[in-house]
Amino acid sequence: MSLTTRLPQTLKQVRPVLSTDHAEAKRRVLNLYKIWLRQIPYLRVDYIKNNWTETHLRNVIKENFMRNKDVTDLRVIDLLIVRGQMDFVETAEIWRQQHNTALMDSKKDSYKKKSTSFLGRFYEGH
Amino acid sequence: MLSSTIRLLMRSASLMRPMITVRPLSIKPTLMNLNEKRKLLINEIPRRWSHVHYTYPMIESRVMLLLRLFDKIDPNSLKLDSRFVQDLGLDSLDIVEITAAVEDEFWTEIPEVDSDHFTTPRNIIQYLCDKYDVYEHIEPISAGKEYLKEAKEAADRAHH
Repeated sequence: MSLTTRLPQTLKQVRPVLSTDHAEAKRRVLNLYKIWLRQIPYLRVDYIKNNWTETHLRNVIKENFMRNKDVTDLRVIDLLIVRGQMDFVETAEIWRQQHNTALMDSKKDSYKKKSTSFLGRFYEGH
Repeated sequence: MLSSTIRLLMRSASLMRPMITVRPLSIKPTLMNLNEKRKLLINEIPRRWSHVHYTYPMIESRVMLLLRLFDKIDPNSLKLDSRFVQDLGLDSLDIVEITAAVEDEFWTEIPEVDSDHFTTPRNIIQYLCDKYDVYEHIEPISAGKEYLKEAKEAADRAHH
């Protein structure tokens, strides 16, 4: 008997952070993406010393969104959305310094896709 | 006396405003490969006159031009009915970019409920036509003949 079947039903349903289903979460993500896109010309002016081009910024923003493409948990998605909004405010209000815009330069995948094979999961410790 | 002269002046000022104004090109360099595509296609952008209503060929040519200028779309494989995701290989974020570009181009705001259904270029054109009460086979009188010809040619070019 696995753990999930033994757990009472109430424990499985967790209170949502923001979105109740995936459609809503997707809507929020796309909204956030659009906000970022619209901000690009202003970003270039605000952080003029970083010498970003529009294409570069678009690529970087997209990259940052695609980093978390494998996240499926609704609550995690919501958390990431909120974080993205906070990032946006920080960037738009120029609370970031020009050397502190790591968001625009990092390229790592923050979330690794869970491996489906038995051995892969074994190596990860599941 | 004074107020009447002012009124007169204001009226004359409004008369002095040119009837025909050329709209600045609103296609932003965000969505263009500036080096080559622009040189080739910049002449195809139909101008919008202030007194001319939208026509079907006008909307169609502008949307198709916008899509052809989009980085991730191969202009050769773009057809009216090619699906963005399946045929052109775009993802949902790209479609958001396209929607933003359409908004820039037509100076409107497209609510998400509507932009969710943008799956082919024809959908976008149809949506805009519905929005502006444009019907495919009816040409408004206010659209000048020369302009219509121009727009039709541009639309033909969009179809190759």
